[in-house]
Amino acid sequence: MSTMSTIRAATAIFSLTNLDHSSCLGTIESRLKKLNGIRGANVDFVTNAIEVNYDPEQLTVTEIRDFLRGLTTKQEASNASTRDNTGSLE
Amino acid sequence: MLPPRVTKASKTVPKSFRIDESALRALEAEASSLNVSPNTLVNQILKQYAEFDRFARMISTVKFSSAPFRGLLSAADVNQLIEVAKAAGSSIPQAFVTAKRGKVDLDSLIDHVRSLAKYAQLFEFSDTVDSHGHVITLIHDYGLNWSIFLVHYLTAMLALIGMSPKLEMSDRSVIITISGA
Repeated sequence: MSTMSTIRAATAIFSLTNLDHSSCLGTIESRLKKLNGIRGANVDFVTNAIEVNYDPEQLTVTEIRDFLRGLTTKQEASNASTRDNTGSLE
Repeated sequence: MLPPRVTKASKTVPKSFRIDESALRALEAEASSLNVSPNTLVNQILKQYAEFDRFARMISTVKFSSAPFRGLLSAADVNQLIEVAKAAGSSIPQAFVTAKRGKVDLDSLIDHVRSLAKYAQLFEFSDTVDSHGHVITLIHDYGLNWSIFLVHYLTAMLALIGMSPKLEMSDRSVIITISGA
């Protein structure tokens, strides 16, 4: 049953500027697109921003932000590990 | 009332340019480090210019590091900050959207705010539209004075089209509820 305030659209722009490896941006975009409720996502490699269209009846903007923060934290940990491993070979 | 812009791939067309060789080398190196094609990178650089930089130039925009910006905000006198915000909100959006869209209406003003998120990284942005109107949320880490500035900037901006939205704020966010748009 529809309500008086049926949500028609939702969009959000998140900053990914804390990422120290910009090459991870594409991975983050593809993982976000697999999330239920995401209708579209587009990373801007120039501004380090990701623009997202989503279904607010399935996801909140806070859940998307937390998901992105989780991904970027994992990605940074992975990069740090790679750097450490590279260093140990030198 | 229009829904938020939909993120989708724009139509692309082939076009040849001669470009400076050193610029091409820099673009190819940057594209390689980002793990994207030079085509994608060039498109996004041009889109930033087409959608934001060429209009930002008209209002004498400067690029500035975030750390001193945060410091300046926290050191500012709140009453003077409010006056600056009101003056800026009643003039800058009008100049920007008139140059970009040719008219000042709710859609063009929301696009201005969206551009400030995407191209100037002044905050993160979300816009939810239902049959009652827009709920726009701005999230940032510049402190309470930035929220105060934004509230007064946006109030003055929306007064340009005779709107008085409901605004709420914390030290990290501003929520704008625009009803009956």
